[in-house]
Amino acid sequence: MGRKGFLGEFELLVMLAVVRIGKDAYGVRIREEIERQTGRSVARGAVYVTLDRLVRKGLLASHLAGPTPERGGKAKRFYRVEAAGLDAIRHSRAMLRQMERGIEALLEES
Amino acid sequence: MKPPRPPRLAEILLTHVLPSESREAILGDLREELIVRRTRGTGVFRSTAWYWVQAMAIVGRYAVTGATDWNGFGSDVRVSLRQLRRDPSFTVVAAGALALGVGVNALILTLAAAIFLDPLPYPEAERLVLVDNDFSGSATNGFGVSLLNMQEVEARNRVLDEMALFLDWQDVNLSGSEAPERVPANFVDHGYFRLLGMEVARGRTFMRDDNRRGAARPVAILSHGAWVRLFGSNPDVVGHAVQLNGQPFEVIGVMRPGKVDLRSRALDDTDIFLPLWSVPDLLGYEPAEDRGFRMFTAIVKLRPGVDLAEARADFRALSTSLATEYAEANQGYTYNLRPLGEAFFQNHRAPTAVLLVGAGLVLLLVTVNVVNLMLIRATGRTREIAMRRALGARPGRLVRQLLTEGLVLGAIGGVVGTVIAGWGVGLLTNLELLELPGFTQLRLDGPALLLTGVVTVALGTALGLASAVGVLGGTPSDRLRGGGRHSEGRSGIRMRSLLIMSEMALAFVLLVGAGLLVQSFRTLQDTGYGFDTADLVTVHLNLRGERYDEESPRRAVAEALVAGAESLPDVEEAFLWSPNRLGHGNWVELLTDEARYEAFPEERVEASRHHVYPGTFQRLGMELIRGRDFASADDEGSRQVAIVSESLAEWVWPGEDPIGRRYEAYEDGILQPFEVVGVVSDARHRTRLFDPFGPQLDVYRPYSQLAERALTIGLRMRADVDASSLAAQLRAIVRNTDADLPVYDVASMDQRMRDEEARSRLSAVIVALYAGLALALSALGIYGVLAHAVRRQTREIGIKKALGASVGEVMRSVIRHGLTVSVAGAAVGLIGALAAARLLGAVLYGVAPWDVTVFGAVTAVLLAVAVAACSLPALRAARVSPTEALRED
Repeated sequence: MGRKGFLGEFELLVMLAVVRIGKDAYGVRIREEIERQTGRSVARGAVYVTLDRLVRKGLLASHLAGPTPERGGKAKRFYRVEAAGLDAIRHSRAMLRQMERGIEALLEES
Repeated sequence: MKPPRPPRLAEILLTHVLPSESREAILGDLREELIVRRTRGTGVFRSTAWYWVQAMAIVGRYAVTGATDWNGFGSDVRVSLRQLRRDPSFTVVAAGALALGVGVNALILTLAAAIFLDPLPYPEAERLVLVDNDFSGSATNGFGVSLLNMQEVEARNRVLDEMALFLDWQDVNLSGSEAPERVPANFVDHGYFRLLGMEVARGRTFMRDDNRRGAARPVAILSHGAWVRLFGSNPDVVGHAVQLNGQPFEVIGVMRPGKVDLRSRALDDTDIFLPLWSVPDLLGYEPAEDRGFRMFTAIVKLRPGVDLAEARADFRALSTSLATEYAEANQGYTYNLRPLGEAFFQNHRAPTAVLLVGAGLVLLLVTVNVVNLMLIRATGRTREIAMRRALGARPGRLVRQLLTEGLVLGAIGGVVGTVIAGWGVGLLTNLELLELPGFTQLRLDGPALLLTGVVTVALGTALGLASAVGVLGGTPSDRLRGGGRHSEGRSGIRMRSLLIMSEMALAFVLLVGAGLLVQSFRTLQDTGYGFDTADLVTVHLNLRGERYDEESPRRAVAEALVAGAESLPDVEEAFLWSPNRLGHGNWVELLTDEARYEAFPEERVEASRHHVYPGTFQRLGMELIRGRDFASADDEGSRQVAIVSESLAEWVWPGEDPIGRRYEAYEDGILQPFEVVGVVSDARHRTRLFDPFGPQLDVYRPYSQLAERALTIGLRMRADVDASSLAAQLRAIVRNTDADLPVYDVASMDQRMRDEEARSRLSAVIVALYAGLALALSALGIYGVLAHAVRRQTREIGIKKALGASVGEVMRSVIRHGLTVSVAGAAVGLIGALAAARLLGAVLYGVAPWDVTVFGAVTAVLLAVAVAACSLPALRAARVSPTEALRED
């Protein structure tokens, strides 16, 4: 996969949310975390589709936890960041820093 | 508290669409959030709606981007197109039906947007209200308002910012332009133009000084159209003198083009604006002397923040106090306030709403039918899909494919439908029959186009989801085992049969409606006026002005015109016949016995009065049933005589000989006695159509005893002649006697009949279109359900055949199934049609609402269509080969 390690903006947000939340990272919490931190409203479908994709890329791992009654007997899927995922996040940040180098003053102003 | 449950259908949908590894977690997340919402106090309805919105958003996301990425979309579209091409009959029928449904909706939405949504072209039009009077003692409403009353209203009301009175239903004779013409006039208050935001392009508008009794000099303002048409856009027209009804006026301004005047809400556009206070001089009415004189309409602007209900309440109070203070003039009258938009579209809103509902119904039926077709097609593909699933295709991927198919089909239907609608809008714009005000613009854009787009996408999604649910219900192993037959039970078939029944019933009702209208239209074409219209041209004159106050000049002009016309080479004969048609209603009340009239005012007879020459009846081909025709001896000096119509004789003197009977009536303001000397056959002077004025109660008087101001001349032509060249010749004749007198509305009776028929033709066409749509949909429905049944019963049919059933028997059993449902539907439709036809009764002409021919023909057509729709599935059943059917497992 030639694009391995490259994260789209929304993918990066989802990855960071999973890292921030830690142990309790599942669909509802992840979406809430992104909304809380960025102040923008996020579609559930977008979160789920992105989570699926990140798992397929091997950047996130997931496991089902035991069903609870308040979820209608449905299991929860928890996510955690894989080593490759952390690499991807670092890579994205490095790319950003690289691109920003020399124009920090300009970016600060606006 | 019981834990809230998500909507089941939404959960099922999600279950089918989501990839198995995320399905449970996502369903669980949504349920958890639903519970949080409910415990925070969100209502059941709102949280259910929320769940649906989320479910649809997630389904959309997974269906489109799927478990993979966007790359697959193009290939999905390609696969869809290939699938559609593989089954061309399905594609043509489904896309065609969708196109019709979308097209009809887009067209009607365009009309509705123009009529309900587009703002009127006046400043702050939402605050403008028209005021006229209703009278509690009368069936007919829409009286004007009285000048004296409105002056008090203006002073006492608490809801109005501004008010202007106008009188806009009169025509005047105009000369001093290129040729004398009779032109539509509007007598307006000085505030009228400001209220409507109308401005002059040249000269000035009316000022308060122009608009009072005995103003220094009479003034007039031309509309832009009149300036171009009558004055050749003469730039020096301001200051020009014109004659109106024989009196001098000065043109002080020309209006800007492009603004539609209030007169056009009901009539034609105004040519000339006159100060309200020229009414007494020009028309001879004295509105300031009689409080009961209700001739005007008021246009008012509500104060900001005042709504219509408040304004109505205030006017109600005002009418109550006016009725107490001036009981004689005002008892029983109330004010009727209508928003300006309603007044402009009073004849359009109700029919448009009906058409809109009809279009929605059509779209609903189209959708249900196409969903049906897709389900049938899906059953045929169950095995293919089950195989793909068993081989590991994700459900999400399959749903995406099916959704794409629905969307592609919907898109084809939507685009073709929009093209159809665009063509239809062009057609509507050319149809002057719709009689829409001049500022109305029918455009397929804005809200109409947006809604059409939304409808199309929703349609495509619904189609895709329907076939997805149809295909993916159950587990792969069920599907493989069940083959093509496991699909739905008896209840499904019953549902569809009910659907067909209702479609048939609807088609029946609409077809009967169309049939009755067409029949009545044909009767109308065969109906005459009760006089000979062949090669007959009618011409009108209105003798206004001081010089015609006496009778003798009126008679001189009429006779000069008749004699002059007869000398024209194309004219065989000319005769006087006044007034006829075009609403010069000369109503007379006949008092046959004054004492009885006083005692029983309801027994008075209202008739319309016409003036004829000796010999007019014979020339018109009317039959003199009793007595004698007028003679030259019936003149001013002799006894006042009258000839009455057959219906009037029967009405007033039933079973008696009317000759020699007397009646009294007002003529020239004096109650005079008249003696009946003849009875003539009925003629329909106003219209051949339904006549709201009841039977043809007519009295005829000799022109030599009373020369009317408004008169009609009939010309029997030798050959077809161009109306405009004839008009020019007639004007030349009149010019010798009175150069300022317009000769107007020159048209052949053939033309008038065509105009009169146009309206009923239009409604017949519209109803027939809807009926055709309903019929096509019923055929589609029958075909769908039977095709489905045949596919379902392939095995049974095979067994029957193996046991020796003939092709004919197999086909008959399929057709019997279809016909049973159709006949049941037609029976329901029959009852509905009988009820609906009664509503049509008022617009039908010469055909009973239960006309046996129409009902018979409709039944025959419906059954023929039903048989045709049954025959395709029946043929398919006939082709079932027993061995293959049995091997299918």
